[in-house]
Amino acid sequence: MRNRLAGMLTCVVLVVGSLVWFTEDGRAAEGDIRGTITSSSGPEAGVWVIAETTDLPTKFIKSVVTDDDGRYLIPELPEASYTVWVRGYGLLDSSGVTAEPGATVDIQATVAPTAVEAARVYPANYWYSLIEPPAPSEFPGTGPDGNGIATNLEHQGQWVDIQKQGCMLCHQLGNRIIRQIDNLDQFDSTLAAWDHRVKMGQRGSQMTNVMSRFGRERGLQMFADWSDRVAAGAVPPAPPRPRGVERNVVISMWEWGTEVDYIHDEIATDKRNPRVNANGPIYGVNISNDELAILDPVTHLATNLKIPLRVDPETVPGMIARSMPEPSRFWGEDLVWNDPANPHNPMMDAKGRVWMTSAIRNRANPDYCKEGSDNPYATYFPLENGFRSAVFYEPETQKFVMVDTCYGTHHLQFAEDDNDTLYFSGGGQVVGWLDTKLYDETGDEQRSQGWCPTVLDTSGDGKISMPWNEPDRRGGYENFDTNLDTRVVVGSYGIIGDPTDDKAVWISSTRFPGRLARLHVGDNPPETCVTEMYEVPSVLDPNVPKDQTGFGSRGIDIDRSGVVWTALSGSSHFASFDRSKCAVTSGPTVADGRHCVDGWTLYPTPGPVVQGTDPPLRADYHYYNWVDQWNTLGLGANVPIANGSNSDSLLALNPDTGEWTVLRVPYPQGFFARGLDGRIDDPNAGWKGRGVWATYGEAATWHIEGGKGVRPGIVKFQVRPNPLAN
Amino acid sequence: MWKRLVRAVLPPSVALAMSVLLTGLVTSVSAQGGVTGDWEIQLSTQTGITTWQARFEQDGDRLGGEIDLGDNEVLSVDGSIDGAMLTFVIVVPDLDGDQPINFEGVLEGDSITGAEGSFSWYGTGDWTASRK
Repeated sequence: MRNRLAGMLTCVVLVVGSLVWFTEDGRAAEGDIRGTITSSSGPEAGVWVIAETTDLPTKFIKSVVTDDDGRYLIPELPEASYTVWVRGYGLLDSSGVTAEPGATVDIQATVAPTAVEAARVYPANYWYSLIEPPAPSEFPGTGPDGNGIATNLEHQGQWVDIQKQGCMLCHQLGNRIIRQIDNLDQFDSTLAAWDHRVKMGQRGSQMTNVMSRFGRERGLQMFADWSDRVAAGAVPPAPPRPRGVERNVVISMWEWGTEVDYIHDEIATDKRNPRVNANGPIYGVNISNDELAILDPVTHLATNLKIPLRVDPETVPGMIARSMPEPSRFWGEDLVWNDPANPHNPMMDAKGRVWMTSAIRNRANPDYCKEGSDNPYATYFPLENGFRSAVFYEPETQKFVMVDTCYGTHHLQFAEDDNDTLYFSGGGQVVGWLDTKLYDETGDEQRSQGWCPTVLDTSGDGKISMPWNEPDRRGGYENFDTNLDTRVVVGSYGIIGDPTDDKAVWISSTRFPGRLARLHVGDNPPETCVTEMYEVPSVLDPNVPKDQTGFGSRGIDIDRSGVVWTALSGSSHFASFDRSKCAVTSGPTVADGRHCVDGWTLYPTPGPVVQGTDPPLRADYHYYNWVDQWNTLGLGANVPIANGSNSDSLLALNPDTGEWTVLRVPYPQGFFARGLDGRIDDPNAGWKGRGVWATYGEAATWHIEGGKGVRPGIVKFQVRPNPLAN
Repeated sequence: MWKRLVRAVLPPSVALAMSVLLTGLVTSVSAQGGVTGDWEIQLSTQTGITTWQARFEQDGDRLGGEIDLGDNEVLSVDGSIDGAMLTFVIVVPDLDGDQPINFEGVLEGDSITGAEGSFSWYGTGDWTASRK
C-alpha cells in the first residue's frame, strides 16, 4: 500500500475515455478494458494490469499482463466500476484509475528509484532466499551444548524440511508480514521478537514447537538474522517478468469466506470428467470454522453453509487449540477458530455432489470397526480410532449427508471404476475406501466401506500372508524375517487412483525424505491387498549421487498413462515416478523402498536458491500438485502443475522440454495455493470455456496483502492465445 | 479436596500456583523421591476419559520419558520439574503438522494433579496421573 501511495505522487495517468471497441467479427467488445502501459523507459512489457471492484456481491479482481509493446486487454469484465492500476517488477505500483468496461486506460508508470522499492512486490520466495540455514558441514547437530542444532538432524536437508513442512505448511515465509517485524520496538532484540511471535494465537503452541525442532535458540537466531538483514536493506535478486505464454494468462479472483476463514481446498468439477458442474458453483472447505464456502462465478455471490456433525459439536474437540501461549497481535485472546468438524478436502462426483473429509464424531470408533467384530476388514486389521469421516453435500437438496468411516480421512479421490469407489488417505495405518454405488443403493455405511493395511510383498510370493513383519512403534523393525511380508506405516497424505488400473491407488508420505506407495486391492480385499513402496531418492540412500537427491513429497497426481507426479516441497523439485521402469516390485530387496531409483525423474522448480544450501535447495514451497489430464488450462493434456505456495503462483511443467510456465497471482500477494482443479464449462468456447481453479489457502488470512480485514480468495486461471485476445 | 476448592473459586493459573505452594508444604518428601517410574494418565475432557500409559524419567530438573497413546503411537516426553510442579510437552504427529500438547501438573506423592488445558483433538479439560 505504501508503494502504491508513493506511486500516486509520481505517476501520470492518462485516461483516453470510454470508447466502444469492435472486434474483427463486428461484435461490440463490451466488457473489456484496454490500453498501454509506458514509463520513462518506454513501453512496459510483462507487467500486470489489475482491475478491481467492490460493486459486485463479492470483491472481484482481474489481472492480465502487457505484451511486448506495453499493450494490455482485460477481457470479460462484468459490468461495474473498476479501479485499474499497474504492478510490475522494476516499477512502483501505480495509482488507480476509475474505469468501466469499454474504456481505454493508458497509464504512465514510474520506474522504482531504488532496488529496495522495486523489491517490495517480489514474491515471498525471493525474500526467503536471503535466509541462511546452517551450513552442511554443521550437520549432524550437536545439541544445545554444541552448535545448537538438534542432535536428530543429520543433514542440512532435514533442517530445511522443517522450514518448509514445519513453517510453510501453514503460511508463506518471506511475505512482508513475516520478513518484517512491525512491533520490534516492544522487544529487546529481534530474537526476542521472533521468540514471542511464534507463540502467538491459537497456533502458537504448534509454531513454538516447530521452532524447538531446529534446536530452539539456533532456529530463532536464523530467523532473527534474516529479519535483521532485511531491515538493514538486503534485497533479493529481481524475479523475471512474465514472458512468452505467461503473458497470455488471465487471472480472476473472487473473495469468499470471512476475514478469519482458512479455506483449505476447493473443487469445481469431477476430476474424471471436467464437464461436470459446468458453469456451476465452486466449493471450498473452511477448515478453521467448519463451513462450506460457495462461489457462484456467474452471479459473483459468495455464501457459506455450516458443515454439521453427527453429535453435539461442543463434545468434539477440533484440531486447532482452544488456547494460546501468547495473545495474537491481530485478535488478542479471541478464539477466532473453532473446528470440531475440521473439513479438509473436497472432491466432486459425477452427480455434482461435493464429498469431503470431515469429522462427524469423536475419535473412538464404533464396535464394528474394532477387534472382535465380524466385519471382514476389522477381522483382518481392526481399527480402534479414526479422525474425520466422509460427508457429502447435495446441491439439489442443499443437505449434508454424513458417512461414518472406521478409518481416518484426509484427502479423497474417486477411482475410475464401475462402483465410483472413493479412496481416502489419512487412515494412519491403513488406506480406506467407500463403494459409493453400494452406499447410494443401500445407505449401509458399514457394508460400503473397506480398508487395508499397507503390507509389502517382501517374501516375494505374489501375495500377502500373515504373520508379517510388524513395524515397532518407532518405525523400525525388530527381528526382521526375510521370509515374511512386511507391514509399513507409510503415513498416507496425498492419494490418487490409477487410470490405467482401477484397482490401484497411489498415496504419498510427507515423512523425510518422502515416499510413494501403490496399493492394489485385488479381487477380494482385504486378503488380496498388496502394497509397493518407493522412497524419494535422497541423501539417506548412499547409492544416489548428491545432485540427484530431493525430499519432501506431499501432493500426488497421475497422468493418463499412469506416470505419478509429486512435488517435493522441501527440495523444490517436481518429481515424476514411472513404475514401468522398475525391474523389481516385490521380494526382500523392496523393504526400504530404494529398489527403483530409475523410476524417478526430478525437475528443479523455478525461483531463487536458499543461500548456503548444498545441493541447491530452492526457496519455494509446493503444498500440493495436480495434473491437467484434460487440458482445462490450455497448455496441453497431462501437463503437471505444482503449487508455488511461497511464490504466489502455479508452476506448469512441460516434461518434454523441462520448461516452466509460471502463472503468478500479482495481487493481492499471499496466494498460498493448496487445492486446485480444472473445469471445462463450454468445450466450444475456446479459452473462455475452460480454466483452472485454486484457493488462497493461507492459514492466517490476515497475512495476505492488505492485512487484517482481507478475505481469502478463489482464483481462476485461463490461458488465451495472445495477450490481447478477447 | 482442598485443591478442588481452590480450583473451583480461582482462575486455573492462579489455582495451579496456589496448589504448587500448598502441595509443596504437604508433599515435599514425596517430591524429593522423584517422578521417575511408570504412571497411568487420565485426561478428562468433553470427549470423556482418555487413558494413556507413561514412563517418566527425572534427571535433576529435567523430565523425560515416553507416553503410550495406544494406536501404535509412543511419544517422547520433554519437560521440566520445579519443586512439585511439572511441565512437559508431547507432540502428536499429524498430516496437518505436528500437534504439540502441553501439560502442567503438581506432584503429590504417587499422584499428579494436572491443570486445565487444551489437548488438541483429545479435548479441553484437565488431567491426573497415578503411579502404577
